Amino acid sequence: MRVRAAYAGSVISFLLSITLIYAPALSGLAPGLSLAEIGKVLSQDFIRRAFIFSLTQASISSALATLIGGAAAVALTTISSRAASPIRALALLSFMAPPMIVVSGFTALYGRGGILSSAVPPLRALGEGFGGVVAAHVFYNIPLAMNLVYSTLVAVPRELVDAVRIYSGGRLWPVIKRVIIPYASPALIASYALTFIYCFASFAIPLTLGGPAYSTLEVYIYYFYRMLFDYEAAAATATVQLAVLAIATVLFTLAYARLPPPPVGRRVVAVLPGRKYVRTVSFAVLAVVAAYLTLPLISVVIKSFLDPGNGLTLRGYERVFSPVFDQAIGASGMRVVGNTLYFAVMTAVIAVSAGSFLAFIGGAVADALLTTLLAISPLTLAMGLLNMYGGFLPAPVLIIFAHTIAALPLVVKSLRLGFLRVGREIADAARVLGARGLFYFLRVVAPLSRGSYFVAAALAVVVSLGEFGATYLIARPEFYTLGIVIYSFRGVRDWPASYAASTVLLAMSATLLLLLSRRLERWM
Amino acid sequence: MGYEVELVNVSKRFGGFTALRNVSLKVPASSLTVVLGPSGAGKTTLLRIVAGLERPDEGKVLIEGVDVTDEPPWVRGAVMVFQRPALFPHMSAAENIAFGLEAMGVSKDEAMARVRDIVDLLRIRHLLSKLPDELSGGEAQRVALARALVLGPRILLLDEPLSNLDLSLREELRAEIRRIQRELGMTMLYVTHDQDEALELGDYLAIIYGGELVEWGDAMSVYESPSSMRAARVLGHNILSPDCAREIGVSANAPVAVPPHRILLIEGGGCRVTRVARRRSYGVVDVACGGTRLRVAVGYDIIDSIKVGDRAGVEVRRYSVLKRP
Repeated sequence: MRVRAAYAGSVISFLLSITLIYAPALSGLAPGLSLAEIGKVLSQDFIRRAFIFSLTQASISSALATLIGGAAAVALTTISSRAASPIRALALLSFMAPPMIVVSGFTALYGRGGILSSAVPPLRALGEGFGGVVAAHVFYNIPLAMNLVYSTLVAVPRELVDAVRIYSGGRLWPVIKRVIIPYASPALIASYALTFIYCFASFAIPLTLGGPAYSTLEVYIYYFYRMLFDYEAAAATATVQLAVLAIATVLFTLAYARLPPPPVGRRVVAVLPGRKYVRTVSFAVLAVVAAYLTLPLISVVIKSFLDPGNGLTLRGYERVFSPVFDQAIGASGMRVVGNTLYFAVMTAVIAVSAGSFLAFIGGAVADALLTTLLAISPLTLAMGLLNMYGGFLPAPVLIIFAHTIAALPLVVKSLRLGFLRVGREIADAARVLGARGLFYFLRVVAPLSRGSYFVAAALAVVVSLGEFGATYLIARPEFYTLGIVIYSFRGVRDWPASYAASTVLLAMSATLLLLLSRRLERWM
Repeated sequence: MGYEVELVNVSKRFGGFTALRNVSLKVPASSLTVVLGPSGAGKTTLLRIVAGLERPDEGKVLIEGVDVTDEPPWVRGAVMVFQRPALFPHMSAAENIAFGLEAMGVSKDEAMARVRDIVDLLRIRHLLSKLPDELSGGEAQRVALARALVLGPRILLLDEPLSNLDLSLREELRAEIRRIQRELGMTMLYVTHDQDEALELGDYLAIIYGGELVEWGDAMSVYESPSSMRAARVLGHNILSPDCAREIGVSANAPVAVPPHRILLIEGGGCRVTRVARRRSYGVVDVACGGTRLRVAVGYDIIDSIKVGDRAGVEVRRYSVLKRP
């Protein structure tokens, strides 16, 4: 009976993954799946340059993010979990911030006329071009590395830390060598691989901050598909990209499998000796990281009220919330805000429903499904969705489809963490008392993990609010979202409107994330 | 009436670790069999296999002669009570107790009537509206017991249910479990590593060591006269080679087990006291008789008069000849 249920769950999960991911992805890649097509795109100079740039910026961004995030994680263990709480909430906010907000933040802070770059001109390097792309990617991925390493260090047995400390006479190096490095290595490798995946297939950041000279392969997929209507070249470029992402995904999976189980309710162990200089350095590291993660977001808000050369203004917000048709967008601002919220709510409903199923009975198939999603970029998936379903499904449905797929890994992860709270003893007790299937889920699992449902829904909303690449490829103007109009307003140089749209989007994401920050800390 | 439970050549491995090896055991219907063994011996695995929570890699589980090896827990007529109460934290005690009935589709009225009967039996009616967080350890374990008993199981499996409770509560609940077993006549399999518990509760005693069933039989016979060396070791008996046994006047061609409480310590003699220790309600004296070391259990009335270095003699009142291993 049990075997049959597990088998049915795996089969349904597999069918779901075929419909949702593999078939669309293959359909998107199909036109380019020939050596001739791949050879053709690789023979073009600009694609080779984009390939090298993608590889270089991803390698550098990942190394920096992992290094800084790892240091921040170690520093985080030296302070109380109460003091660490705001830093972790902030990290979550920057990790989940929609990419167009990050772009706006880096422009507002380090770009031309930026708040910091006006005072310190060399900082302009962080606002555009190669430096801008790397700096924004590092901003995004410091939290990822920090949380992966922090979770690993929290799992270090207190007795081990105490023993090493006693036998090493309080010296720092033995603790680093015998505790931190062995325990944190899998997390560092996993975070490097995951950051590499995100950076290699990055779209919004290189599109806006990089410009034509610093475009990734993902940007060229968009360019081939949307501008030149060269579907074969787009698919061939996506195939090349997929090959690199697949290798990084395998590396990530191998490293991730060596991580300890999620530290549900574990007490933080200060792995470093509590010396004064250690605390001072830790505090300095955390202060710099906090500033790096906060300042771009604050700059967006400040700049949204500034009209270049004309002082304070609310003009940007008027344009964002205007009910009147806006030529630059192709729809009214109000409609865009409405679209954004509509897609977000629908995504949350569908992703949480499908995610519940996958998290509850998906098992190994669900894990595999979610891992393969890492190797498939949003634009590859969007191309596939258009190819497969574009003929008969309207754009809003496809957008929700794409957002749901983007949200599923986080949704399933948070639900599975919630389900872990049920514990083996409770699960066994329920089974011997005769509870099974839907009854068991509704009476035991769902009530005990209801907190994780809030988290899953919030994460799905935030992912939807921030999704840019797939939406940009699929949507016509009447279905544009705030992320896209930030880009459109940048295009027409209406900076107050672009920053205002960014601030509205930031407010939506931040409100949700901060409201659930205590619960989300456990998730991270 | 309870059901007869039989395990036939059951083996279970977890990765490279063999938890149970070729275990065969027949538990008579309506009896209380205690499974005794050190930590990691495979006791809990054995219980989980009977409950249907684990599937054996080899062998069969028969209940009333019917092969249930591949059947899920809920069709076996067996319910399990765990080491920790494992109450559903979001449900009141009443809802917890009624949970299994609800899962079986029993009507609300009937369920409540059965819950009332069982809480009266266990004298916990006053706890019905409380949440698990509001219950003490003993109360929670009573609710867990009620949750299992309300289903009218033919087999009740108890996995060290009292090990997290303090001594007086443990003794109180032990008596209650024995009373309920006699009153309801169900078959009970009770896992413990506590010998007091085993002797007080068990009609039968099964000793598990290193994943193997090393001794099984009437509880007092097994305790007083184990025939396996590993069982004697689990029970804490003195194990003597034939040569050593001869030094204290026991003649045998094979190793013997001498229970510490079956040795009489007498004043003067060829042995020397090497250690005197007090335990709860009895004392332990280690003596060296030539090359033979013995542990002797003595009453509190005489322990104050014994000191390390005293000369003493021993008289073995009962011993059993062991088979190897």
